[in-house]
Amino acid sequence: MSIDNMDKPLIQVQNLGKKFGDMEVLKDISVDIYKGDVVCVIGPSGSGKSTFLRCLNRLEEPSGGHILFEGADIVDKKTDIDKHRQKMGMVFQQFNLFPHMTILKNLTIAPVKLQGKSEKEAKEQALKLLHKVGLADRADSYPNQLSGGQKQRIAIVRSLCMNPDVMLFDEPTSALDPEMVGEVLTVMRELADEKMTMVVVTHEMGFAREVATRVMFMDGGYFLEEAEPGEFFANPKNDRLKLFLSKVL
Amino acid sequence: MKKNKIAIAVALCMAAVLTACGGAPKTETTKAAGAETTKAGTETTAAGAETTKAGAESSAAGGKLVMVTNAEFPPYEYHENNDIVGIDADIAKAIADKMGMELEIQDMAFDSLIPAVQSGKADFTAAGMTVNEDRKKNVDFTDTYAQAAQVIIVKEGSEIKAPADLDGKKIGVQTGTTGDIYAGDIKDANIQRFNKGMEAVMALTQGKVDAVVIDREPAKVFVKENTGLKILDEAFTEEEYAIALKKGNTELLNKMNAAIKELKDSGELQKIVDKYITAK
Amino acid sequence: MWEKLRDDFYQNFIVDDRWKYITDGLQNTLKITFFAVLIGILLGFLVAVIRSTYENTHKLKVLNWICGVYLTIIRGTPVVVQLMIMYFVIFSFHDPGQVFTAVVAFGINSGAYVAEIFRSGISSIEKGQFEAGRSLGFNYAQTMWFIIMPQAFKNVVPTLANEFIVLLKETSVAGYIGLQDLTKGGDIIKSRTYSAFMPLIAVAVIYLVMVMMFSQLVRALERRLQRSEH
Repeated sequence: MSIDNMDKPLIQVQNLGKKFGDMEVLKDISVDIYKGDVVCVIGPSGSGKSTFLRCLNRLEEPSGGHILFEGADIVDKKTDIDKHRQKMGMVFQQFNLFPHMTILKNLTIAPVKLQGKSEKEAKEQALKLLHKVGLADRADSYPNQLSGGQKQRIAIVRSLCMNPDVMLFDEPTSALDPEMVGEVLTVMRELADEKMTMVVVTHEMGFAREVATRVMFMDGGYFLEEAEPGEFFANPKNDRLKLFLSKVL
Repeated sequence: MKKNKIAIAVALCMAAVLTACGGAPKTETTKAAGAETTKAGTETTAAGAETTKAGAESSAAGGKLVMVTNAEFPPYEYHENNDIVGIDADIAKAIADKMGMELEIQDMAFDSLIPAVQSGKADFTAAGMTVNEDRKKNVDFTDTYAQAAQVIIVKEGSEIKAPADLDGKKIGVQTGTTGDIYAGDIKDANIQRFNKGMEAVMALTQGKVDAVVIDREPAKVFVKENTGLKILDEAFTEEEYAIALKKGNTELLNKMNAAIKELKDSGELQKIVDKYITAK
Repeated sequence: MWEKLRDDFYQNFIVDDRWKYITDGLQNTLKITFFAVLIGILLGFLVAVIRSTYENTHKLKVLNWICGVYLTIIRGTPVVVQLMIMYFVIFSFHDPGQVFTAVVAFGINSGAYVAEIFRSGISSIEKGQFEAGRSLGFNYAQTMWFIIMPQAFKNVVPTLANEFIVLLKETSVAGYIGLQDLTKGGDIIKSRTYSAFMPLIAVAVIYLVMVMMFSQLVRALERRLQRSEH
């Protein structure tokens, strides 16, 4: 974690803590995420990795610490979090597409209502992105008519339509049938190739190894180890990471 | 579509069944009058077990007379200490005593009284009911037992001074009373019908109606209990009260008329009237 | 028997233009129901939003408390009592007209039930929908309006329709404040002709037909809403 990097970090997490009642889920976490980083966060379930991700756009209210994003402390209640969320795309495990809207409407509603784009403009952009993920023919379908993999690709496109500066992925392939995991990871890989900044909570070790610029291991509310993927998987130092890797690899 | 048809069919069946029920009591009026009291009890399952019992008993001993009234009409009938009391109630009691029968009083809406008597759910109604031609077509009346009048209640200082001034005014009445019926003849009148006379009077005190047309004796009570109201000297109509029975029930009618005559002759009737009207 | 029915019909509806009691009453019943439904939806929506907002964010504490009191009182007392309180107590020194009074009373009554229907509709929507909306940058109100409400509304259409059918039938107590609605119209005829059968059946059939027509309408609406999802 070199602070003396040439760029300022895109996201600076400082002493982040989160408690649910008496349960301390995140303990004093500090981490910097730079433009173009693809950070994969791995760890056993219940380790706090999803909570960490959801704190980044304040879907969970942090109990302490600061998160600086593009110069603003988004933990500060006075910060207009809605404005900053527009720049932080989020993809959920359960897709969370809007079932009462067509795919196209799912993709255009936020740009039109929040960024003041015209319907036409938003539609053109949406169709371009749909084309990229191979779903241009489903623009007029409803979410219920799609497979899980298709839904998740649409969900990614929905976030991309807002032209975010960072994309947060919360176990994006965990709810998918195995044969659909690949198509979603492919889209994510393409995003990484385009230098999109990404924070990915995942169990896909293959993806982490191939695509991540940094891999972080989380357990018990702490980041226990962080390294480049090659080093991370070949040469783990922390005992708990070793144990974890021995189970999942 | 299919559901629609079924629903209509059900509605029609319902109507047909009800037609049969509604028609029955009226066509039976020609039957022997003596059986009527019993019939009243046995026929009316809807009226509940008590009435049925009343009917069953009447064939055995002296039996029970079922009277219906609208007990919101002081001093003729009203609730006091869980009993229905008043001039009508006392007279009915005296008549029942003379006939050696027990009296049971049931309270219901005024406009349901005649249907209740017609359908045999009750033996008679004594409810400060004015004798008029329309009603005579549907029920038999006993001899009159009281003189009455429909009067006009207004707020003190009202511009309404006589019945003629009611044209085009808002008039409160109790649904189905003679006041209601005759008020319909007033030119351009806006008639507001309440379930209870008291509510019509309340609407008057709150300025929601300009006048209330109602029977004289209850009017006196209402005016006494509400300051700022008065009864116009000139009555709206003069009329007579009588007890109403199911049409064709001559046996009971004759018995009741005989009892009323006895009560009148002995001065008992006047005593009852005095008790309530002078006391109030 | 047919002759008697015909005669009854003549007596109850034709003589003195008595049918006008029914048609005038029907007009009032429709007027009251229509405007009470509007007030009910508006009020119910507002209360449901306040209650849901409090449940989700713990904001609007005072408003939520007021709404709670409103729901408790309205749902804990009979509508006919509320109607009479509205007429004889609340509007005791000012007469806004009986139809208006009834519209206000039934509207406020219906609002309480509609509020609970909307609220259950809102809470039936998965949390993920809300989070997806917020994560795109919609604020609370926008998320409610664009994402939660349309789905909640679709879910509650049948229950809502049922509430309005109940409301239509409940307006039959409007006669308590001297108002001539459909039921009272039948009562007046009954008090003139002393026959209960014809006027009551006529009134019942008219209510039934209105309810059946309304149910058809709702079914059509439901089908349309369903189509948009598949």
